[in-house]
Amino acid sequence: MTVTVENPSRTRGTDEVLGVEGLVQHFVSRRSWADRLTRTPQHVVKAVDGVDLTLSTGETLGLVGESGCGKSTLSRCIMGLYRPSAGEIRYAGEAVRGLPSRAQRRTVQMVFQDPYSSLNPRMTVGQTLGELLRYHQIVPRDQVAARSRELMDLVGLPHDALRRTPRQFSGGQRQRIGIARALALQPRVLIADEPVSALDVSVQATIINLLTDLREELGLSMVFVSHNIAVVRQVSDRIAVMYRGRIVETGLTEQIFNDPRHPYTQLLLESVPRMLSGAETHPIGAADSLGTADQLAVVDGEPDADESPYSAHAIEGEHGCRYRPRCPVAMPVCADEPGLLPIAGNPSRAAACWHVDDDRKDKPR
Amino acid sequence: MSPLLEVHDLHVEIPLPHAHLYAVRGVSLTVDAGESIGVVGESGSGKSITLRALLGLLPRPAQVTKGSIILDGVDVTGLPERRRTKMLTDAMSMVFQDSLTALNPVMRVGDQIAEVPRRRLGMSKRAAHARAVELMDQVGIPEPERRFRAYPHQLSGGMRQRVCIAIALSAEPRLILADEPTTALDVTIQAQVLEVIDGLRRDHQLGVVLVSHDLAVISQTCSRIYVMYAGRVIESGSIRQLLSLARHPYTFALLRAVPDPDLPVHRLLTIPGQPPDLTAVPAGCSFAPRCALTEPACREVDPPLTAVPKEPDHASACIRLETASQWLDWAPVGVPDLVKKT
Repeated sequence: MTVTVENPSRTRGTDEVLGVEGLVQHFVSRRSWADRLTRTPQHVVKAVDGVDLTLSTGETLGLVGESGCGKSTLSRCIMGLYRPSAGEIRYAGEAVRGLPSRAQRRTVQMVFQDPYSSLNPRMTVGQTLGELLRYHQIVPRDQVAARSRELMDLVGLPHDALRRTPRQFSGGQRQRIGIARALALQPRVLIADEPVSALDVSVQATIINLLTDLREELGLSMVFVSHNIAVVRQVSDRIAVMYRGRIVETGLTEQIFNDPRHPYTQLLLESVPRMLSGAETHPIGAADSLGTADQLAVVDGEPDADESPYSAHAIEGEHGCRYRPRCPVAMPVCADEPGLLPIAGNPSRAAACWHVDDDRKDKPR
Repeated sequence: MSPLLEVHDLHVEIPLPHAHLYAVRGVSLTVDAGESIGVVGESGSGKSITLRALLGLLPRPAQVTKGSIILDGVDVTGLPERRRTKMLTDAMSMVFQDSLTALNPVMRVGDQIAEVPRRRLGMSKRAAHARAVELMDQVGIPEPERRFRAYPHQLSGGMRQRVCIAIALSAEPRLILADEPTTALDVTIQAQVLEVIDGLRRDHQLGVVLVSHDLAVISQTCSRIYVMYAGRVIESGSIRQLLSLARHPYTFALLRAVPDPDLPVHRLLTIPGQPPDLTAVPAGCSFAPRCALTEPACREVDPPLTAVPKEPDHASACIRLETASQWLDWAPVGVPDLVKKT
């Protein structure tokens, strides 16, 4: 499993392995009789509000955004854990109607954030893997044990791990089991929802390296969901930035990092804490040179929970660009919400901002 | 002048039904007024327990078995418990990681902030209200008068953490202990909250002890770092010293295990194995089983924290600290060379 970093196989294939078109996932609150009598309007949370995505074979897409922006809902929709309100999901070119069929479920598999709560605590690792291999008829019954051992080798665990239960493993090892469980079905797409957020930094690195190696080895495509931008940069070929249920910017990883166009992407990249030596220490994020706390409040764009019960979600009855209330460069035209606008001279990039092609003087860093 | 807080050789043990867990095994640290220090380490390295021991907030069976806490030059360790707790809690307050569980869900946030000035400083109801509003303003809560009446669930995560900081400030402490204060927050909000804490340090000459597993967060806000491993401080020094050349293999590896947001794809250094079981700490250096540079001597003695020659305030608990400049050979191809970068 020694793969050098500059592997030419990172170049992307062109065939679509996963497609999402106009995906909408709204959650509607239940109305009580009292609500109906008082004509309280129904509350709709637009967790995912019109998302288009394509993933090619062998490509890794990083999905970033703040908590509540819909990253996890989107990945769960793609997995077929929710029935989407509208839009289409395609696995390897084949549309998923309603929830995916058993055969379709093999194509896309998920690695969850918390490896402990996503494994059955009363089953040994061998039982968990064996059940999957038999149910989906991945290998003939007499080869289930052999295949399970192969999976352990793949994720770097000893064979006797198969006889143990999840609680006997450390966090990093459990995440390896979670990865083995996802890989058991030989999926073409792996959806990793914050796979390293619950782990310590030293362990985090081993899981990131493992995912990188597996991707090369098995030719997997991956959707890597994380709020940790440095981690996303490590693993992704392409990045999609989500804000309040929509993708606001997409492009190749290096392009996004070197030249972020959407004001939200810019804020996100500037806010990432960086290792600095003591003398160079300066206030982080947008708060540059603003010393006092009450000045800081001005740049605070986080809406109150009481103003919107799901602070970062899109709320019903809102118009205009969804970033406008926090945006430092909002202008009258922002009352109309832009779709993803192409960036001139760069076919792989788009940003949902009217300022897309402006020359920016205040480039971050 | 003596430092604001000095901790000497602190030991905390947790008696368990079938074993004895040595959670903290000899931690020493100092904080000056207006200084912020960082404590980093993996989960289970004893960083949170150390903070709790300072405030007398240890969970039930855990107890301090050894060590001294010196506040403003006064050793409080020998004082009667009630007197000691009063002195320590008057001087220090704590900010916790999870603001939702730290706050009382059925009490308005303003009243929670005003409670301390009323009960401990004996302010009148009106004065305490005014003080609470003033504190909320200080920590950057817009419209404090209106937010005073809000319940915790009505505020966003960043606002709730500000409320917690305001509560910590309400007792007029000289030292703030912050235990992973931004771990539960988004990066954009994290930057704001860290800036609030740093502003308070500057304006009020507060001492700050920031505990985090995120080296980048610490390097941005603290002037000195203590790196903890298996209940001990294994390296301490200024940010500059640690970043330019870490003198303990654990720190060295940790710095290269974190992906750098400013670098394109690079291989991350991994640390094999797991931290030792603290109920049965093996002899010798506790990092030796995971260290790529272990030699037989490492398994015999647990090296004490030793000053690095020619570098003031930099200390490491490694017998090979003098050879640190050669350690890079150990890193696999693709691991960035931090020495050149800084």
